[in-house]
Amino acid sequence: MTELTDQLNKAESQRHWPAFLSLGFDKGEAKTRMHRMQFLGPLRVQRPFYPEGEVCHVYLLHPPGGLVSGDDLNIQLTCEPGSKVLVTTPSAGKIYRADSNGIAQKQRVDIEVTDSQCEWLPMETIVFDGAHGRLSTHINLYGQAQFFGLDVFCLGRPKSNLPFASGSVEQRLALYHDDVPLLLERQFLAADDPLISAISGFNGNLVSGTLVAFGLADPEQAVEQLHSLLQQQAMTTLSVTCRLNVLVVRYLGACSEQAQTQLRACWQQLRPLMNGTPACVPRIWNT
Amino acid sequence: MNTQALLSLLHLTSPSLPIGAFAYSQGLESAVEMGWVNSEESLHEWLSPILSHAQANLDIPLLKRLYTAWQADDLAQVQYWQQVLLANRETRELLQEEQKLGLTFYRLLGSLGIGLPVQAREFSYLVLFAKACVHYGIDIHGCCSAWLWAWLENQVAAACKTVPLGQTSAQKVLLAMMPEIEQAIEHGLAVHDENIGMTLPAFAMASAWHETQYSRLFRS
Repeated sequence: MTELTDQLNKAESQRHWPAFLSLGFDKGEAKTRMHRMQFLGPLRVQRPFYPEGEVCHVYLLHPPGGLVSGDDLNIQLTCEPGSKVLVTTPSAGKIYRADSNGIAQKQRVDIEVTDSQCEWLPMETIVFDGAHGRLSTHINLYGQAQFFGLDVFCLGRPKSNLPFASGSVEQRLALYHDDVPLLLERQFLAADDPLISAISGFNGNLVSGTLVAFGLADPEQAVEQLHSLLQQQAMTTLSVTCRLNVLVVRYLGACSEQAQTQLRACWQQLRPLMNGTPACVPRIWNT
Repeated sequence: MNTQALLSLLHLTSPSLPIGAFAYSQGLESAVEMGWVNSEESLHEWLSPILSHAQANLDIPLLKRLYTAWQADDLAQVQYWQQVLLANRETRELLQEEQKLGLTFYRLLGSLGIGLPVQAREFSYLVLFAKACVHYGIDIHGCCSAWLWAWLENQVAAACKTVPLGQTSAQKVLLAMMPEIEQAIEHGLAVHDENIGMTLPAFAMASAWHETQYSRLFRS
């Protein structure tokens, strides 16, 4: 009996459910084509559509809706020269409480953009109490790449008063241009981490977010425009800076909806400066 | 450490070293403006996580790697870790501080007769600080202690001007954080490559706000 339990425990501790989605885009005659779609496991993508003509809009779906222990999600996007791509998700990503073995839940996003334009604007990720989340986003830009990336990250569910009392979460963002690192960020929080309440840490806030932009013709001018937007709307939950030609907007606050609204407003402001066309808000955001 | 090495270390980290490190507050001035830091206690609260999480996971592991790379005269490694360091600096002002102090420190080291490769003109402060420590035979613990102590002393001096904080309170914070420096070094020297770096959101935002703070004493 003990042997059987041991075996079951062993099987459980080795549980590994990989899911994989790889999308490739290239420039067609009138519009960007999604010429490659490979998947394994429950990751899917809807048929791409073209609300603004040339740009290929894609919704990523993960029907289970969240990650449990052993889940290992890999998403790869490759944007070939001349392509224009916008990717979002229809619902928040969730990292559920891990099982009793505390097996990690992993998500890795790899984005490669070569002389093309990519907007990675997923919905927020909610990390539930007890989760063991490992989330990383690697962005490799080459040549004249233009890129927007938005990430919002909620610890526990603030509205339902679920704190983050056990588990741990690590979140990484790495952005390279022509193989030189331009932005490397890493956050790690263990259960009841003093960093959550620390004034120089999360200052008691459970929602954080980042919008990064690369490929702006005049990033300093873009920073100034955002500053005036921020002043007008008195957004004390946002900060803007630009270093190594990467514009970084950070959000720290209490509400994921507010984070999305504010960071998307910045994206809308920056989009015309990036490529001369106004932002085309994905319809799914309005629902 | 022999007497000459110790004297060199005291020299390199003296606030009177003419590189202008005193001109930067690293977001502390914004934290004061926001009302987050207004006392001895809140200053300690502000600085502790920056030391134990940010510096212990970035500056210390990088000092160790750069120190080793300089010892081996491995310029490719020096340049690699230099890029990692800059990519981890969260805001324009933190990056510029690193680079501007680097340039001044480069000139100083040149005038002190320390031989540097031509590429060193592009290197930032932490990278050249590791080189200077190797040159003077200062061991890695001395190198890390001095780096963190200089940072702490500078932050506390900035607090004296901005909070403002009295001299006795300032000394208390310095003293209280000495054991934390030791822990940060112990932690930092054991950090693996894949765990290098740690972003503190409120610290990064305070530094970004400082870039446009209306009235300020410190450089951005």
